[in-house]
Amino acid sequence: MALPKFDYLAPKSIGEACAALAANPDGGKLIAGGVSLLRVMKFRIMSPDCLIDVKSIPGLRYVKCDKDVLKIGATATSTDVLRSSDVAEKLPLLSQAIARIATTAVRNWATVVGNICVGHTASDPSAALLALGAELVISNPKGERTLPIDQFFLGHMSTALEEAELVREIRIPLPKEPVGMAYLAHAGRAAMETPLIAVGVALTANGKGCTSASISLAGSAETPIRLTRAEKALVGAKLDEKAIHNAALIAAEDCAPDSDVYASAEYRRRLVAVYVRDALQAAAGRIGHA
Amino acid sequence: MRRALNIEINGRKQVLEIEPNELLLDVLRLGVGLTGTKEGCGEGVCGSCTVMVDGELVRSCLTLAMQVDGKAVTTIEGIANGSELHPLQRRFLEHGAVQCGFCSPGLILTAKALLSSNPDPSEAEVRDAIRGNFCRCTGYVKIVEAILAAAAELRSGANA
Repeated sequence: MALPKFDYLAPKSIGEACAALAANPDGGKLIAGGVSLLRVMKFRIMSPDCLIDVKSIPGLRYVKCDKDVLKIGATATSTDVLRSSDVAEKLPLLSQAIARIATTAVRNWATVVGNICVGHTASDPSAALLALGAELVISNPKGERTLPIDQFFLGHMSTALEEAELVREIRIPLPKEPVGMAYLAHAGRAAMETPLIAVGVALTANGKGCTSASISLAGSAETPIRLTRAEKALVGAKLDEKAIHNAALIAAEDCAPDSDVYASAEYRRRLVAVYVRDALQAAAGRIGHA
Repeated sequence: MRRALNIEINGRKQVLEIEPNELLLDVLRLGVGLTGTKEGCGEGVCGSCTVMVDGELVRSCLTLAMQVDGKAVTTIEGIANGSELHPLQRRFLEHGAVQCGFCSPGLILTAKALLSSNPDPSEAEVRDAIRGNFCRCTGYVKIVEAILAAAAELRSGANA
């Protein structure tokens, strides 16, 4: 399958990339790994006049800890994140989500920033980053701004990126106390499948009960979402079967799945209840509260 | 407008003139005539187009050729030693892991990447490594056997 024709620009700095976007407001599009973008271009769903290559900008391929924050640069691949011992040790929820993406050959080339910028609801890394309270550093011609990731997803394939903006870095706060994390996804087959639904959970607790809860969902609404009502119901409660069951029922009420060829909305809603329950149980177990 | 692409293919450095919208797959097959790399689904799922870029597996059907500028590509044509087949290629033949052969180049390169990072994989690790490479003929049993046999051969060679 051939790609439509386009021009290709290889900026050498973030400033050049933003300027190129500003100069091509209608037909300019950023490309990182391109595994999502080139696919939709093959089907002529998108036909940008000009691809602006983020991978040609030096210095953006990193996964590093800086004090209490893990930073993922714009061109770090999924494999780069999986190879980080900091991520494996401190943010297992993120490794588990990224390990689900396609297969090695795709993870070696595709970037994590690119994945979230596609804005697909069934994005594994988006769900993980939502549960972990990540923040995005967004560059534009005037400078940069930071945005909590729960304000980033606006609709189907639509994000809060404005004209001439690019995501330069993902920042994830590193836990200061033990956090029970879990990531569970349901897919139709074991390989090469985006999830029907996926759940990310991060919990903290003390002797009295749950002190903080963060629950995210992918594939269960128009965008990846946080389940704030279910989270609130857990905080202050003992992490027992009853509280977890209750939170899972709220999650199933609050999700807004669509029907498609893979599953009906009703089936997805039932999956949400089961997977939120199982993920909460697993996460609570990991901090000795189950 | 055609652009210069500096690329090393199977150890040979070349400068090619390409269009910005060319894929690595097409540069390999149509540009330099290396037709061992196959196009199956064309959307990154089936694994037939898998090659290595700087030693890492990629899907050449979803890789913009301009992004491979300055990098080294290894295809199925580049892994034999002259006329002597790579142990993975030989074991695929011996074990009947090749039927129509369309998936074999991608599978063999995927197995090669696995064995360079994990020379002694379990059967489960082999199956996990090849889960993004679809074979519609053999049912994978022979493929897994061939990869495990090649792994054993490469280990004994390394110890000799």
